[in-house]
Amino acid sequence: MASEDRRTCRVLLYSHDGFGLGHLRRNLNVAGRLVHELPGSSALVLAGLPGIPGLQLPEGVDLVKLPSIRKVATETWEPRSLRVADDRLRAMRRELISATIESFDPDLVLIDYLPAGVWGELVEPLQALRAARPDVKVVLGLRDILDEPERTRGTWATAGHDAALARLYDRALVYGDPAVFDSVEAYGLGELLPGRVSYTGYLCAEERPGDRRLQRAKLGVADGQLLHLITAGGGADAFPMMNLALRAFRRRQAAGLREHVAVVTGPLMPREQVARLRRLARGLSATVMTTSSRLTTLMAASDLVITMAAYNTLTDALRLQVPILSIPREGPSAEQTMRAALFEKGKLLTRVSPAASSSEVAAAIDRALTQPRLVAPPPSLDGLEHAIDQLCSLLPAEGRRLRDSEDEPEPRGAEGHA
Amino acid sequence: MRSRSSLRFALFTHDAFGLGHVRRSTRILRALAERAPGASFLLITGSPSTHLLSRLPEGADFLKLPTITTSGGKGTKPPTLALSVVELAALRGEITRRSLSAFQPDVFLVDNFPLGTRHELLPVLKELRDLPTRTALGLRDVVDPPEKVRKDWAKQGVHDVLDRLYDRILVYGMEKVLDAAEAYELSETAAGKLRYAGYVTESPDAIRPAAEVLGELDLDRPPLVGTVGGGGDGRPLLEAFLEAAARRPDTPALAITGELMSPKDRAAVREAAAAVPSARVLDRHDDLPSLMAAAELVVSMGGYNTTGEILAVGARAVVVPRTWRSGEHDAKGKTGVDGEQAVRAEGLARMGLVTTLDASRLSGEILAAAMEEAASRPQPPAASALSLDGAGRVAELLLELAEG
Repeated sequence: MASEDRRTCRVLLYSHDGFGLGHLRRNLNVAGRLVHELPGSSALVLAGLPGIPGLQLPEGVDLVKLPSIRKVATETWEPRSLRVADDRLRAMRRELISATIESFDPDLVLIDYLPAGVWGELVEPLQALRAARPDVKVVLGLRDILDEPERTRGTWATAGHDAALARLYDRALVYGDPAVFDSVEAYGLGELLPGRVSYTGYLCAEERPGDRRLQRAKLGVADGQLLHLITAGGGADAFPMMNLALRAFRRRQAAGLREHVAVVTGPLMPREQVARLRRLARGLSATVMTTSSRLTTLMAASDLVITMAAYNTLTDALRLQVPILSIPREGPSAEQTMRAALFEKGKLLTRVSPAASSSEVAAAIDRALTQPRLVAPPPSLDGLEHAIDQLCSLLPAEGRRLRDSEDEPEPRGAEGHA
Repeated sequence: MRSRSSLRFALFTHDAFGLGHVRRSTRILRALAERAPGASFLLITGSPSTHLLSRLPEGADFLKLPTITTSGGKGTKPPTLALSVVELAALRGEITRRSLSAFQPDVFLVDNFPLGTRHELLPVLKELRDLPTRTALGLRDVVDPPEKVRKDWAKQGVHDVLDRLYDRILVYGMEKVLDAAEAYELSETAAGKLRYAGYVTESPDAIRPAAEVLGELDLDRPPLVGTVGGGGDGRPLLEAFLEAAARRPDTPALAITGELMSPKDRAAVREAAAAVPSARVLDRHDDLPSLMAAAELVVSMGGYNTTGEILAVGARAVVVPRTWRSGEHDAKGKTGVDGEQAVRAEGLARMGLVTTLDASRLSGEILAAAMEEAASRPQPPAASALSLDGAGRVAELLLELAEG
């Protein structure tokens, strides 16, 4: 084969998928943008989520799916569906991760959320990588809030994340804004990686909304009528919030308010819960969908977003400047409660407790609609831009040379048509 | 001997885009799970369609490898990662080898390609020789035209792999359609490992009553059904089908274009149908097996899944192997009749299960004659009568291998 000098870089990402879609979406966002900035590069994402309908991989990005796990408590996981003992699943994931790192031979590794990975599974592979490729850069990406600081510090110390971060990482990026929350201070990141932690601002999706009017017309929303959107990412744990919000709308519409509600349950909500929400929406001016390929447009066309307090939905709504009513999830970690309180303090959203009654929520909807628009400067929402800049600055200016294949076997009829 | 509930099975399915291979694998997994409840199942594939794996049985999970093949069909994209094929194959082989050494399956089943998509399974199979894992290769009824298979396998050293690295060779088809030992010139050792399982299709007990299916379509009598799978290359057959249907004005005819047919081809089919009052065009039908069971006669191409479904329900059928014309969608530079489909159609016709014709001479008139001949034959028995429950038979053969 003709030898062609192509320079490119390889990025390996590790996505912690204990529960919802949030981690994977953020990681795919970063991976896609990075390959876009460095054409000819490849990004491989190690992820553990089962198949997700409608998930689109960005150009130049592929997935390696690990055996799936389920987070049952802090630092405790179990096999999600494969019927094997925990030990065997751990061994399979460890082997798969090592094999991928060794064969893919990345120039940059971006680990999400847990420095040592699930079950500490990243420690050995990263050690081996550092020994084999001293020039490789290993970066930790953290969302703004992990959990209550005391608790996170305790877990990180006992589960080996502190040690892993200090020994194996070049850099940590916090996908947040210190004006909202000082994550570096709260989680003691400065002591673990002195001078090598930086804030990027919040990571937002880049998709531009389409025609708002058309979207409202499609839902049958009349001119001057309010449109409210209930959404919460994958929706795996969103039922209580959506149930409460829909009951609040039932009250409001019974009282004569002519407003339309769009509910996007998310692809991970259990079917029977979706059915219950559909029943609850009967007789209301409401549209219930499991997924929407035009969620960005739908959100932009809405007068209010009602959601929990997860990172991606809140930053999307802030970016699109749609008022937010947040009903945060209270457990298992304090992450959402903390984020909702901090964003409320910054006048970024209106908050109501998940223990509130439907009439309290109905009243909170009015408060959220009339809340004055931001007075303070909004938090920095251009995190993706900064994250990409930081990651690119870590790569050698030369890029890497693709090893040319001299002994490529004859293509075989692999694309059968059964 | 270990109890069935503690067995572990791993399946390797290659990357072709679309549903065919993934569906065949999930059917086998479900049949295994019925017979070995409590067992553990791992599906390994580079298919980008893994979100379609929603019907995996309890106890199962899947691994997705970096995708190596192009996605096929309209708007074909190159493999996603900017790696050479050699590097991708090495990456896939390494991931598979080490995952399996940790999973330690009792049986490892490889779908259709003995060395994987690009030779990545050779180191995997070699390593498994040192473990108690038994290995099985599952071949489609017709892998490819025999002369092509013989040439490919000789060049790639497949015969040696079959002799030394596989314990069992299953054929998802029938010896009477194609004798694999003879057609592929297997060694005596490899031929001794051969077992025929029948067609792996949807189980026929899912077939709904004819009255219900016809009622949904407002039909008062069994129709002629023309189906071309996804439909990417089905226009010539549907045009001939409509021409033939015009000669039987009293029998309703349904031409199903499939979702991959181009708008241009679809418009041409609709135009042809406009001239035939008894005919209607559907873009798709959600329960094709039930519709075929309710049909008077089916005209189809010769792909594995459609043909298997025809056999499963015992439909009267004319099977016309796919043809490519130069410049056509999906032709990839090929012209002429699809050899794999031709071998399948001829084999089934020899057994009297379907009628076929020389696809290179396809016309409305020739098809009409074949349809007349097919209609005059006795109704073929359904698969259950021919013991063609392929998935169940595959599962039993794999259990035998695990327990043997």
